[in-house]
Amino acid sequence: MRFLCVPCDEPMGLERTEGPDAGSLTAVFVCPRCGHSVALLTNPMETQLVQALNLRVGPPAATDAAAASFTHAALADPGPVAPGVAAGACPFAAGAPAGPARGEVPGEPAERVVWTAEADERLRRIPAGVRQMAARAIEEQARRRGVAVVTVELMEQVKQSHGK
Amino acid sequence: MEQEARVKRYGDLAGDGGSGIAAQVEAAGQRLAARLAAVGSVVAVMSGKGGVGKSVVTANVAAALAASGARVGVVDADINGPSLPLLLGARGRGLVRGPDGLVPAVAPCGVRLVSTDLLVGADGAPVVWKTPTQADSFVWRGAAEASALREFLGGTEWGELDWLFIDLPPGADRVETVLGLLPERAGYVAVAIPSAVAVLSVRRAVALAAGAGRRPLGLIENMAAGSSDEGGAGVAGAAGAAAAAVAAVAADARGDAVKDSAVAGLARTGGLALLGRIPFDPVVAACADAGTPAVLARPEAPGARALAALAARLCATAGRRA
Repeated sequence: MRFLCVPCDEPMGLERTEGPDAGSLTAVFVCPRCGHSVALLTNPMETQLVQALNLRVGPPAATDAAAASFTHAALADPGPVAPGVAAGACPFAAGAPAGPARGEVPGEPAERVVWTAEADERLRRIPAGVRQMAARAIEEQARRRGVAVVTVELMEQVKQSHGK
Repeated sequence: MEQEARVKRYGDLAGDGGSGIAAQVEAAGQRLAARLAAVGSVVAVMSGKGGVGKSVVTANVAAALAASGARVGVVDADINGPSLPLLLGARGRGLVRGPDGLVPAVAPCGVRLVSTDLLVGADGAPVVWKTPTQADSFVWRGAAEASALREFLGGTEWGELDWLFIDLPPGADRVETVLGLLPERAGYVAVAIPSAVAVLSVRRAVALAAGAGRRPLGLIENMAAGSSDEGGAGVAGAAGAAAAAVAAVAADARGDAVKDSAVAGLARTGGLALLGRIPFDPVVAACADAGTPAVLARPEAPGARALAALAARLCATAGRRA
């Protein structure tokens, strides 16, 4: 959408934005020739449409925080998405392989490890921020032990072997 | 009478007036292109109809390729009905924010995966978008879903991949949206079942895909009647049915006319290669529910053999070795 100053037949430029305030966004446009200004006011649905497109009007504000992701930030009930954390914050993470995750090394066939439903449920109780790292560590331990199925018992053994 | 001077039109104006929107759109497109440049083959899996087993096919083909050593990623493009984390045994793995985007979850079989199922809070919770009111949400919900898809494709740290599969939701309405985001070299496969009702929906989806100008890789007949043994010895069941199915597959391999199923008819009339016929196999469904792809958990099952053969044929079609 653009604004045109009709008397000057000149495109108006964005001067500033305000809001959203109570779901309404204000965008003020000014004619570079005569200085006449107009304000575009959006209703909440129109504001939501702009946000749903993952766009902003005007330059980013200094107070804009970097979202984990657009999709995560746009959900009404998102789960946790944490920054990647270093090993050591979780008893399982201490054993996390330092190299690439399984399946990421070209030429190396992936060794299949499956989880029992109980073990999967136990895994879900681990904080999301370290869950993936913990899963990798447990699967690595399973492969080292020649085990193809991760059970709750194996998870306990791995936990105890890390001294926690 | 003096004519009013014609005012400038939108197309007469240069730049975006300071909104920055044009630059944001261009930057998003460049980011998407850069991410997908590191992917060998990009394949959209569509059906145009729900319940044909498209996601199960996607999960098994991805798992089969990963087991062969390929680096495989899957985008669960069914924003509202995500199922890939369950099918690949990756539920609850969660997503992590990396320095340059979301870090995909890694399923036990090594397939990298991103899905709204990995982002919602409560287990089994529906995907609801944050908004002061859900009234009139039909106006912008499609935009939000498209933005999510764009992020899953271009805002995820996939790394280098040999394959990236995009598992589309049922229905033809997302076909153009998803295919429009993919590079021109991307291809698509369509999954159908031997039902005139399903074939009608798939036919429409294929027509839309053709209009989007992406490369058709072929058609997959799922839940095919009889037992299709593309991978090995005869299977349990009526000897006559097995023999007939093997003969049909052999005829297909020779390029002869296959048994005249509705799907085969669609392949002929649509100019699509019939990539594979996956027999109806309860083992595949049971493995799907257990989150262990049948190609890995029960490779001897007829359905699993057919899915593994499908993966191999897809490699050959896309010019890669399994």
